Amino acid sequence: MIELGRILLVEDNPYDVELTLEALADYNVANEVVVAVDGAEALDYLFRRGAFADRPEGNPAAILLDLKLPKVDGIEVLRTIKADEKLKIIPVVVLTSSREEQDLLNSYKLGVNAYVVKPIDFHEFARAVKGLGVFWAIINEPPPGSARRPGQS
Amino acid sequence: MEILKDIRISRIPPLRNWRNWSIQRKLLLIILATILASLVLVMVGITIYEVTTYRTRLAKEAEDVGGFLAANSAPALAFDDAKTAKEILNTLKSSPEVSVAVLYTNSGRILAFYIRSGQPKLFLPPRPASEGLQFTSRHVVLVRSIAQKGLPLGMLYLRADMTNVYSRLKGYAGIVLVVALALGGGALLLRVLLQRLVSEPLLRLSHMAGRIAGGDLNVSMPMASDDEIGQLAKTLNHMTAELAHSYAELQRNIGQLQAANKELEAFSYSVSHDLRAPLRHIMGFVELLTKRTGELLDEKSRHYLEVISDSAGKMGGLIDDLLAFSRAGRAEMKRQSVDFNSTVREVITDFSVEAQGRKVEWKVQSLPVVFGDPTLLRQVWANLVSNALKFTRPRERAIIEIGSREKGDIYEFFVRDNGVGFDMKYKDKLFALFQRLHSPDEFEGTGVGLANVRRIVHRHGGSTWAESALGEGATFYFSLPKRRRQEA
Repeated sequence: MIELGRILLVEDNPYDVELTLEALADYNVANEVVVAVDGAEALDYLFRRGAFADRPEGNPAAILLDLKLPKVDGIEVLRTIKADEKLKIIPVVVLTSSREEQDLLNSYKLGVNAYVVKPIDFHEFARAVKGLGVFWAIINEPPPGSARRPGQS
Repeated sequence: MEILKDIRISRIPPLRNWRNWSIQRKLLLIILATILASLVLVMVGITIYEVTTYRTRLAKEAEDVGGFLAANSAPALAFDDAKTAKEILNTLKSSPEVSVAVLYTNSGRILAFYIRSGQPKLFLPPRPASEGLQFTSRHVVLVRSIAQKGLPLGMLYLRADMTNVYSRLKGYAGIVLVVALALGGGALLLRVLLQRLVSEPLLRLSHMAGRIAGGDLNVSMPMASDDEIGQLAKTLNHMTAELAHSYAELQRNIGQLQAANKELEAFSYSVSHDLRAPLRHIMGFVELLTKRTGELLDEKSRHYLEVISDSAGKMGGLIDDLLAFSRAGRAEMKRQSVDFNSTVREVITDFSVEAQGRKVEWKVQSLPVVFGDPTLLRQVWANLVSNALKFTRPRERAIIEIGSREKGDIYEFFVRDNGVGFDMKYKDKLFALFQRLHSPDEFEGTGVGLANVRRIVHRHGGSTWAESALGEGATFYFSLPKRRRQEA
């Protein structure tokens, strides 16, 4: 049985969420995708507070992070994650439509693990998402403390 | 005082350069020439006056003396008394101007003569034919007949010299010469005076004007005098103030324009950026739809979905191009030396993949080093080379020439190909944004490459143009200014 980790998808646009989920489901990558629709929700989830105080333990195997988010934007979320001892080990993949040099610079400076620009073409998009999913949730050894598929140790 | 160091005492330059002489020298020359001319005129005037009045006087004296002699020598002539005649003539010793006197008898024989001592021995004139006064340049000659009671007895020849006048004229000339020499000496003094009054203030003014030209608008000219130079100083000060004003306003305008431009670019950036998301959704959901309903749909419906997807894709391309185009205008321009030889070599290497399988002949001349943004300039070459490759595709063998030409202050570069060319009728549309002269079936492209080239070249202060004939290839040119000391 392939171990599939949990993926946290932080994306505000519902259509983009739908497309990403379709792509992930299409390629049977992860069986657990948590969606946060803004930066605040994402942080609440990660820190297990607010609405997510009772969520199951364990960190996501990877975080797919959009940059343009309401309330708390992507860069802020990234900064917060990388500043926290327990959370900074989670691989973060920025998945955004911005190719701006400034965003790239800031993201890498903050220690992002990968930066992927959302292509317009769906096939390419799906391929990118699949590649990410396959790599981060399957091939890559998730950091200790990440949630596993129920039943695995 | 340091200004004086600039004023060199130079040798007298050739005359044909007189326009370039210093004002000092010119003024000096005019003054001296005027004075000399006046002196000469005065000399001439005096000479004429002296000569004329002297002549008149001399003539009168000759007449008087002649009359006196004639009367006294009549008896001697009547009695043919040579001795007495001689004595009478010898009284002329006391008339210093008379130099020769001769008494002739009626028959023309010389009865007696008198030649003033010191006169060169001369040939005594034969009996003169007519009476009267005669003037030559050096003498006055009087000839008169001597008669008594109506009977002619003989003739008197009298000659007076104008020696006196000439010695006086010599004296005048001497004075003039001395004055002229004194002037020559005074010229040096005059020169110093002119220097202080004219050259120095002018040089100081020009020095300050130079500083203004160099960008320092805080200088103000001292106004030592209210003459033309003072006026100039005042006007220059006024001009400087105006310049400072205009400059400040210009800065303000530039600031405003830059702010507006930044706003516009930020706007177009965010718009293009925001356009991407819905586009992505269109394509994504069309794809999902196609996957879900593909088998259920008829050919036409599938085709419609394809068109939607295709168009969305095209729109994406346009947005990308627009973003790149605005980025070409937004990016901070680096300024450094760029060796075009290596730039072009790299670009050709980059495109060698695209040219694979084709016969492409590259003729690349040696190119100069220019000054500008290496990334942007590389894009210029890339666009031009890409076009050359694209439009030579129908040819069995593509020949692409790259070279440059130096024209005074600028470098001209060209990329020439033997491709399909274009109709010169449309040459003004070539570099416009999104303008294409071919259908997408003939040649792909969005029409942004050349617009980019023009944008970048313009930002560097150059210009773009092209020449072609349909079916006979095309040459695309762009120019760049050579590096100057002061960069705009």
